[in-house]
Amino acid sequence: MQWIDKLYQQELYSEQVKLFRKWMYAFLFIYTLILLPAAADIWGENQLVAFPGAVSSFLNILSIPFLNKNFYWIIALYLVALLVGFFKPNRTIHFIIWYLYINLYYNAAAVQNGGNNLVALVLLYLAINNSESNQSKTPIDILFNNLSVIAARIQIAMMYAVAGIYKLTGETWTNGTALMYVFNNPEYSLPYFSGWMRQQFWLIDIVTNTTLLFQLIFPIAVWFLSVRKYVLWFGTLFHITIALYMGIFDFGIIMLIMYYLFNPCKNKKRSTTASL
Amino acid sequence: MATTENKTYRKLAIGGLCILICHFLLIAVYNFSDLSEKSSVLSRAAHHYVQPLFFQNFKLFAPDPPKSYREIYFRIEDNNGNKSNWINPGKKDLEIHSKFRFTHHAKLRAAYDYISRNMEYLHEQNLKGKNDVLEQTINRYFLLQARKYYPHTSFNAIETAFITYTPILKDDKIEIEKQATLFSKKQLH
Repeated sequence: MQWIDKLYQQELYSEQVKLFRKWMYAFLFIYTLILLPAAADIWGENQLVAFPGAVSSFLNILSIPFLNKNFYWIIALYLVALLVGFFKPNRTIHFIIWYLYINLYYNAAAVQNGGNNLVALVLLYLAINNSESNQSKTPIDILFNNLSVIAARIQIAMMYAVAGIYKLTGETWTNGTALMYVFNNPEYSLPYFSGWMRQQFWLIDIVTNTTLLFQLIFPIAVWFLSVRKYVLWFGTLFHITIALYMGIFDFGIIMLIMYYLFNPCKNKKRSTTASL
Repeated sequence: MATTENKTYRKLAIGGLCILICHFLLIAVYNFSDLSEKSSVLSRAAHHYVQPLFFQNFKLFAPDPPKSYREIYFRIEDNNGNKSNWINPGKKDLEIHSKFRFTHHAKLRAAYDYISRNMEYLHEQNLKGKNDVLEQTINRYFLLQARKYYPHTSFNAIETAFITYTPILKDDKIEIEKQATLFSKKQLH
């Protein structure tokens, strides 16, 4: 019962959330600026891959012709919201950021990856979190804050579990050749390195098996403080490699920022008067 | 000893945890529903619950990564029946993406990859002419690319094709098998 009481008495993850949000909003801001030269191709009237009617217009406001014509204003609003969220975080702005993000996400669903998908979910869970607020918090506030982080953590672990378990049902991940096919794709390899890499069968075998093992171990091991540090360090190396070698840079950076939510940093004890 | 107020909060905390457990149970059922061939009542309920707010697709190169790599091409036919050269609309993006990872070209390549994957899918599954939504998406992509490459030319048809490169292990060496497929010829009105 002591652990359950802590959920409404003490903010368990406030420092993690603060760090996570600062880095995530900063990343999303820069990432959106990076995508601006291709914004018309991704979200505009003449977007290269469109899915009209795939989700309701509430989650895809850019499917409304008037808003689609003015999509740059939606992006501008999103950028402003990210700045406000960075400097003056509060629940309202967190919800606005999530809402604009999910709309931009769904409007360009075909070009999104697992990292973008995870951001949409974690931003939603953490939208109810007001850890940054300096005002005194009620036990309900504290309960929401703690549960939102637990939800985000489970979601991250779920991502690895799904990726790992589905790989077990395939042929190439279990026989150690999966990454041979990946590295043969110029999309996911560096041209001046891949020629050598794809002939190193022993290395491909090791890396394929290590990837599979990591994705299966992470969802369990990350909950144990004694090994969490090693799991996160290995994951950091793993995702930096994905970002640089495979070129899925957004996914790599997003996962590194997600790790802040598991960071065992110390939190200031913030108890409520009602809980004692 | 816990006060009455604390007991209420404790109940709320337990309730919150129960909601969280139910939420992730449904998400787990949704995520792993492809492992079972039968669609149960629970998996249908999970689909209704998860989509669209908690939509997730985390298979990430699973169960197997795509074995072949594809290049897509188009050429236009003008009003006099003259055909242009074949153009690979993602070539430039790939060249830049190989040198600089942190650019918008990654997303343009993702669009290219989506189109090429679906062209191969429609061709392999013999679904050409049977999946309007996908075919419209593919036609739209090529039409927009043709307008980009030939902004001042009027054309009345677009021909599309793709080449697949499949690595094959032979005597401890990788050989690349190449296969070209003419996909479609779309007449414009």
